[in-house]
Amino acid sequence: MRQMAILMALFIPLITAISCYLIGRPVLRNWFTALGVLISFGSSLTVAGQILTGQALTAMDGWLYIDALSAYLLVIIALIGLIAALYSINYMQHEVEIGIIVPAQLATYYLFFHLFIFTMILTVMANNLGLLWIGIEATTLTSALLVGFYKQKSSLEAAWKYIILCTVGIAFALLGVILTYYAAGQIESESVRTLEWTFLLANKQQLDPQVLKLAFIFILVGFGTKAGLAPLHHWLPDAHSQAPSPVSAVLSGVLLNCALYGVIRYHLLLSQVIGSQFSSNLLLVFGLVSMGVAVPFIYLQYDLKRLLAYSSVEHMGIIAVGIGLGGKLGLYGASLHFLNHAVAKSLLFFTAGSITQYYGTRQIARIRGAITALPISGVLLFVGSLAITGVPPFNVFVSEFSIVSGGFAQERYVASGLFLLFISLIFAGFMYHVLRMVLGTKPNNLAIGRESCLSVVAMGIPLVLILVLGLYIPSILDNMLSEVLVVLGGVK
Amino acid sequence: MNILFSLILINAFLLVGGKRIDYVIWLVAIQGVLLALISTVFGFQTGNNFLYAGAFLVLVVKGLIVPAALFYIVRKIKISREIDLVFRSNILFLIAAGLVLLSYWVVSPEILPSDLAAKIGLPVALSLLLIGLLIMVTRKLALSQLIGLLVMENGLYMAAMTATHGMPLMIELGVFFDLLVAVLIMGLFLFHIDKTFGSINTDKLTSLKG
Repeated sequence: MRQMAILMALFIPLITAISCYLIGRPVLRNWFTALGVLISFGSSLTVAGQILTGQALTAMDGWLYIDALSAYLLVIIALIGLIAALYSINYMQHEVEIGIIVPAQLATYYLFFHLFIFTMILTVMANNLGLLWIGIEATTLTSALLVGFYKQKSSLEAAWKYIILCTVGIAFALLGVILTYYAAGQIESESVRTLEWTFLLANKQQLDPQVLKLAFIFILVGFGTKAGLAPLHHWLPDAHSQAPSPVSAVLSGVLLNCALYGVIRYHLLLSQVIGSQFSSNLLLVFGLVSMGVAVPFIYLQYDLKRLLAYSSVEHMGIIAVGIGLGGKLGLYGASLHFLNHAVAKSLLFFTAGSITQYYGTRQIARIRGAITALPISGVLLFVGSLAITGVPPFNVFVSEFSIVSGGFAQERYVASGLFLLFISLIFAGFMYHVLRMVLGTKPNNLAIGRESCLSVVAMGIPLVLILVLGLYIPSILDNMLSEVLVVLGGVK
Repeated sequence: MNILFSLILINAFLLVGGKRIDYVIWLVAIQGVLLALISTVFGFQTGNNFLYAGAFLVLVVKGLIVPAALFYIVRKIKISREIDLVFRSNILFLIAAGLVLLSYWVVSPEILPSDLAAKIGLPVALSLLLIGLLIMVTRKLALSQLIGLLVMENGLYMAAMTATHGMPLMIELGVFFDLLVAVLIMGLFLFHIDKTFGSINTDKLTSLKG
């Protein structure tokens, strides 16, 4: 029974992908998509429930390993997959109606969409460091096809840059994996088991610290590229702005989390071997640099989706800072921020999708009066922007507050001060752009837009989460987070 | 063994300065064959049977399928004789030589004390990795970036082989599968880029900024 839920959570997206590709009738395909993501979400909740009651699970002969951290990310992936799939149905239909794509392309879209979800779930479930690497590389390959989906000049450019940069980055991560295998090979040679987290953690005393340190640097560079940590983030704004909007939501909301997950796992291993000083400081510095780099690009931004993309660079930085600071508050904030950023950013990308579709442009300067033109998306863009910039009483405030108070509690005033400075600067920049877009008078030649029921549902789910999580943390999530904290080493 | 290592380095140097695209692809194929040979010799020396399987895979994938796919792309796209190199080739040779020295300096004997093969092989592997990167940044055709990536992958394979006597077969298979799919997808994008831009020169891929 336990195995069943794990296998379903992993393989349902794969099955959905294949069936969506084979089914010719669009209506039936939409039903399959909705059904697939619902079952996948249900089984991921079941897996998480099992983790809450017991300890970590392994499956498939030890290839899969699910502890609280994996289960937590699994639920986030399935949740964002669910709402993005629901949003896709109307959004992509509309793209067909206005003639941007032909109906036959929809089958390819859903094939790669679900494959993309599958590869991400594989990444967080992998027990073997090699399998984790394969999973992350596979996310690049499946999502590159989605980034280049429109086959216009700009989207092809973005997809090419994305695939080249991320593959080069991940090549360095493979070197890190090889070095780890070398270190573990001193204990037990030529066995695939030596790359498993469970094996590495069990034999941590015998691993060579020098080699592991070197490996961590390669892993950080490699998976850090994929996670969009500055200064390796150059592919990110291009890819996020050129992909179809539901895909942007998945890229930003969960793909970045998956890549960061790889770094965090390795950080945990290294902390066990040589203490957390070395890798924590690296994460802290990379995190702060990412936040700082995002500031000028947000101020000078001209493109709505690129604005959101740079905000993702900032938020990955925030999570890295939280992990780097460590301590109970920092880790709690960072773990909560995985979820908070994912829901807030996907809501924003959905509203941005509706708005850009309506105005026919992504240019901030040409979007005016969104509240009157598209009442629901306009308002939600404003609410989502307040949430993502950390205004109370929304959810992102809670996790950011937790991280920064953790910083002050540890008397790391410079890091915490910079953190606050960057957040407030980004708040001002964001509001400057968003207020101009939502207020003002809408262009006269456009009628008031209609928003479809399914898209509103897809936006409603993250909206509810943003509001609820800003006010209080439900006990079930709190239990989950305290289990995650145990994995992250915050409490003994 | 040392002869093979030197040959693969010479091959990489020729790749850096190679001007005509089909000549470059031939060099990539030869590199694949050399890598397979090294893997076989290594398997013989260490008695590790996995390395024979690895050698076979390298020969088929890197020596045969990938070069054939590259030739197919070149013929389909009809790459014009645009100048591919950013710098003159003798400058590139100098940089490549610097990278090789750097690799020998970085892989200091203290880090990997135990293994003789690792001492000789790992610097060469790192050189290949860096030279692959050099190829990617000093050429204008998008296809050449794919070639640079292949050289990097070869370097990684060699690192895995010399440092650890080969990665586990399951992982190796996964990596090979990923590589094949990556080449396939990049090839697909090359066709689309060629169709949309009328060339695969990366000078034209610069519109997204800020």
